[in-house]
Amino acid sequence: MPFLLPLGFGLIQALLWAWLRPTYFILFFPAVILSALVGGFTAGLTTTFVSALAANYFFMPPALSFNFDGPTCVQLATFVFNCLVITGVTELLSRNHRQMVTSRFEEAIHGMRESYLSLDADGVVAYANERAEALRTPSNSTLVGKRIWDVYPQLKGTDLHKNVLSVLETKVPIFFEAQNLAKTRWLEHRIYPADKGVTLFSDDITQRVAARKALEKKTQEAIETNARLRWVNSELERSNCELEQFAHVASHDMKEPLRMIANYVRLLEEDYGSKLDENGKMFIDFAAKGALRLNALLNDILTHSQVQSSPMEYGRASMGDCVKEALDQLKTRVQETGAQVHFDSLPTIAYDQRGLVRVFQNLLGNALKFCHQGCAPEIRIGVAETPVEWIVSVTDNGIGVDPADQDRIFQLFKRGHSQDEYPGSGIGLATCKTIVERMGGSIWVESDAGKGATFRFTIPKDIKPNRTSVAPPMKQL
Amino acid sequence: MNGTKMRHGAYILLVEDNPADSLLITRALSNGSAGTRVVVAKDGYEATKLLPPAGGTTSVPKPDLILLDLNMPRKDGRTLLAEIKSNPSLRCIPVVVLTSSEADTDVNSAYSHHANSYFSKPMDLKEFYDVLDRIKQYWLADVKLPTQCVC
Repeated sequence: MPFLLPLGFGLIQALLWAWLRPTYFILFFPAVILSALVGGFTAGLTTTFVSALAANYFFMPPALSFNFDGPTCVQLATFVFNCLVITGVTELLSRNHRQMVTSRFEEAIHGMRESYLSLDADGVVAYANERAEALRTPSNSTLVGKRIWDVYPQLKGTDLHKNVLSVLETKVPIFFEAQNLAKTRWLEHRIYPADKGVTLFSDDITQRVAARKALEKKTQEAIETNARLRWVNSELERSNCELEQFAHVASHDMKEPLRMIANYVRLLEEDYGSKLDENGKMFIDFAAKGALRLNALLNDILTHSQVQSSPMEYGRASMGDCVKEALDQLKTRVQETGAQVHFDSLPTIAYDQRGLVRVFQNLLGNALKFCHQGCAPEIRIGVAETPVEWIVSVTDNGIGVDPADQDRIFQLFKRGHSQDEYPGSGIGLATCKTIVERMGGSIWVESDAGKGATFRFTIPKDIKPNRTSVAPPMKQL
Repeated sequence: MNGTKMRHGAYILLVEDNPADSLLITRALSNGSAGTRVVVAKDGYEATKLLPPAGGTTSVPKPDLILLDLNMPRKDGRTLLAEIKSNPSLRCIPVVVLTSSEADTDVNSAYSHHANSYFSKPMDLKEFYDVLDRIKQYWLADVKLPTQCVC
């Protein structure tokens, strides 16, 4: 604190005077010091002389009269001298301090990234920082002292001009963004009201504006993409809904005329069979078989669409029960082929029971169908587990799946064999894939053609049952 | 036909819009049971006209059995079933639904409206005949039918 120095000096003088006597001058030192501190040099000086006169008149003997004899004058002169020194030093230090503050302020103003202009009410520039000068004037001239609207007549009528006038009138700061006159850069103007005019800060925000514009563009694009996705989604939902309706039409409305064809073909055979030759009977047989195959196809399509649209119902039940139920539905074919089906104890897990029965039904049905001529199918069902999933396998000793077909066969209507060799709709494995994937698992086949096949599918262990009771037994397909 | 004591002169009202099915069903029902009379109504309206009106005593005969298709133009089988079963003088007539629909909603709705049984028309002709034989055996030979509705 620079003020401590005169304070200390004053204190020493006071002590000296106390020792020299008369002590009453001590009373006046604080007044002089305070006056010098608060009011500066002139106030300190005035207080000094008033104090000297007051001391002479009131305190120095004889009291209540002025005395200017030799010793008194020496005392007074010493007092005045000391006070002058105190006042002078105080003034010097405080001026130094003020200058330091001012120069720091100017340094800050000049070093600013923003341009800074102090304008009076008429728009005359009272102060401009380096940035403002560099931005706005030819290098050999300064803005200070000039009317800004004369230097840049193009500014008149712009937002900047209007806003400066507005701040002058309302004394309320205005912040706004505008392009520079050449329209090459973006500036942020902040106009603050000042005593007799305004203060104008202008910052180059071209990069910020560019970034913001890019962000806005991206946001707009995202919004548009989102809207497009929503539209696509609703279109998908609509087309899915239409597909389900189509499956309904297929299962009912298409089956009705199909049933008529099948029935009347049989009726034709029944009533007129005796009048037909072998060719005629063969034609009728083809027609009847075609109708039955179309019926099976329609049933499979219906099942597939139901699997896609109906909600999964996860309950806990024995996998062994599912295999037994699937085998029960296939028992005619098991008996016809003399198949052996082996499975050890299968775990009780959480899964969609109807779905799992369907998967087993399709896989076991395929194993029974795709067997070597004259060789009884032998089927093994096994379960392995990893920390996160169950891996179920169905292995047969049939004709196997050609490696080229191993991915294809899980697609809808994709078949590995001709209708004559092995009849089927080409839907069963696609249905299995849909069911397994809806449960969060995957399905694949491992096979060397001619040496049997192993179909494996996974069931995640983290399936949470969403129903407590066991699903009712499935309707016969 | 394994039924031995087939009711003589049974009157069956068949409500069926498809002439191909009408012909098949009529053939199957008439086969081996002399005197069985099958009257065909092509939709719910025609069937209503063939049934005695509610309340009044009338000479219009009541059928012993109604075979009902569900999907028909104008007035469908569901509406007709609800009307018959809410009519005190008709509700004792057994109504057997015979339709191509396998939908659970149709089955549940039919029984909720007091249908006496529900059959889906089988795809195979032999099975179709079998179903009709069983219907005939059960409703026209095995069970005893009411002589009049009492409320």
